[in-house]
Amino acid sequence: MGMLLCLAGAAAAETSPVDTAVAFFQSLGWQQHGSLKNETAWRIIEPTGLTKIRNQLILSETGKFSDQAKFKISGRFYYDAVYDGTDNYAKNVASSQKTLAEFRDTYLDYSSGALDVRLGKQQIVWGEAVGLFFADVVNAKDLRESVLPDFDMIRIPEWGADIEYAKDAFHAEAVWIPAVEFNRLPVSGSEFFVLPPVPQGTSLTYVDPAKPSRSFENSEAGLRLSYLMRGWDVAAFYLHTWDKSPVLYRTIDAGVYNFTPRYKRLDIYGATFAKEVKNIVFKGECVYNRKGYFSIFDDTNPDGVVRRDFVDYLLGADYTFFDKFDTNLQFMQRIISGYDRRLANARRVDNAVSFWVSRGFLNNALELEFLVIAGLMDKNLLYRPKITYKLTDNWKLRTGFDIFQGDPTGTFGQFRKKSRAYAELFYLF
Amino acid sequence: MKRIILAAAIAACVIGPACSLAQIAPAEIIQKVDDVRSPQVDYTIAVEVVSYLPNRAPKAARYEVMVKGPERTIIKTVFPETERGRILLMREKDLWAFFPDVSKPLRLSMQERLIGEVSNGDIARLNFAGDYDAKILREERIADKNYYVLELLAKNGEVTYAKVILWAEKETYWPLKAEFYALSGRLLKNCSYENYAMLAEKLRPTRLVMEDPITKGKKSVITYGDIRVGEIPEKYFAKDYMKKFIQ
Repeated sequence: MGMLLCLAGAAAAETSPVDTAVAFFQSLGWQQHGSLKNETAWRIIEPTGLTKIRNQLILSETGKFSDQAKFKISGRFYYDAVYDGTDNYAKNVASSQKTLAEFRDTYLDYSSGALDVRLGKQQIVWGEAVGLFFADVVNAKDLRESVLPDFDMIRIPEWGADIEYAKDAFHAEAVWIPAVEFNRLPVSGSEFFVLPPVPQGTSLTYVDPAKPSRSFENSEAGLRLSYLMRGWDVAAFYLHTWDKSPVLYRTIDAGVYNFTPRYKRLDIYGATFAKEVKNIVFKGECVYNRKGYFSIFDDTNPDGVVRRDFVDYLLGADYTFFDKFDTNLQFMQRIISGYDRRLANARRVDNAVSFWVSRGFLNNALELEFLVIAGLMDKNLLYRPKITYKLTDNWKLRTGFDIFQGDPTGTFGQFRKKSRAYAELFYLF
Repeated sequence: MKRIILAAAIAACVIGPACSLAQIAPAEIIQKVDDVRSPQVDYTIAVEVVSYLPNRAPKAARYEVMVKGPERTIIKTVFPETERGRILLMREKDLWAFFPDVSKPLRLSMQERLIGEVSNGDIARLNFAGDYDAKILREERIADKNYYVLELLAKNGEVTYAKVILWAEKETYWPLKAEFYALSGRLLKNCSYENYAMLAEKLRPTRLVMEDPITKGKKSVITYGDIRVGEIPEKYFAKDYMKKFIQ
């Protein structure tokens, strides 16, 4: 008996604390995932050259403490070798874009009955549009590569609370963001830098804006209500927020435009819908910005900024042709109330369309996509043909072109000399 | 007397089959077939889909599927890693997809592609009785068993297939095979129900083979695995909840 007890004791002692911990966490469903990615881009318009050799690592840990409480911790790290490997960019650009280390989605979810709460760094995504930010207004955006990266990488997760109530077909969502983030904008000399609006041939100075201090008064809050009724997916929202890009206040001194931008408050109202009819998915978004900020070419205006109400709306349709070609067509319009012809880079009514088509081959291991976004008033275009190939269950290769065309003052035409070819290699685990 | 017997025999040949056809309504048959195909309680099940193309290595995907009644389904992709995190939600005839790199649910149609020969509606939509009007075309005897051959016509244009021809065993209501047709009448897929095994206290088909009628060797095989029966909260089946399925 003593020998048996000794053997049993010895067997028990062989389980190390590490093994015990691992078994415990596995029982809670804790999982580790992530990705390694290389992104390489080449400018195809003279002067041609490498514009990106970025190596990125994303790590995430997910799990649950109980059936009610779950969590996610994730982080992103990257190093762009183009700034050390070439002389294509100045030091200020390297400072802005060479390396990054940040928490991404990192939050705790708690669920109790009809109530769900998410606390932490998160993306809060509203809207139905494909390939564009319209009603997607909550999170700040990283626009240092314009709108070219994947949308979940463009959005900057923000620390806040997202409280949701769901009952049958009704859903209510309240958000509070105490630690406000602002858009990360490209710096002067970077690939997608946007010059402040000045008359041609005008010199300018620019002072980086101070961000509002983090306080309760400066926090953001919003409410979204949605309802599903006979296949109609409708929602309405209000967001008391900040204009995520600084408003370009300026003075003029001896013909020189001196910009001292500031961040300003904004109230946004919106509505969205989606409905499928005979295999066509119709969707729409409408966003009303109350007293939005516009730059104006008027030397008699002391700060170069006026406020106007404006509405952005989108109507779109998705359809799959011949069971093979997924397509999406969208029409967008902006209407500015009280329009002034001197508004910088703005029309009273501005129209655009987008078209996207995708076809899968080899059981969708190979995916061909084409997206074009076109400003109809000034013939600005962005073409994005893309091929994605799933090499194995873990490896994926994506390659394509981002081609800008149009007037140099247009949304896409201003980057007409930045058109690029790119390739991205992913390892997912 | 002989005429009476002959008349009775002829009548039996005519009335007998008509009586057996009339014994159970077609709608009841397909309801029983649905009961065989899928438990009529809340459950979560592991599903594997392997797609085959001629002269190419098969491609596999694995899903966790949550089902609540005939009209609520969630499909979470767990493999391969290149697609992990994608989620499909079917609610009545409405479908949404959540893609991690978009981080928001997108409204889809049932026609949009999932994998291989399997469309979203093949996995998400399992409800013959709710979606189709049935009539019995004939009976057939196959391998010593008698089968109803039913024609199912879609009740509306919002389901994946406009017409289904279904073979169901008379005695057990086990589905044997089905043909799926487009509105144009074009045959889209042939499906066979195989490997009957115990799932949720009943013998059910655990393997579906969906074949392309035109390209030889092009098919997808859906295999059902571990099943957990238990109530699933209604709020899971809302598009706004999809982001909560952290992966």
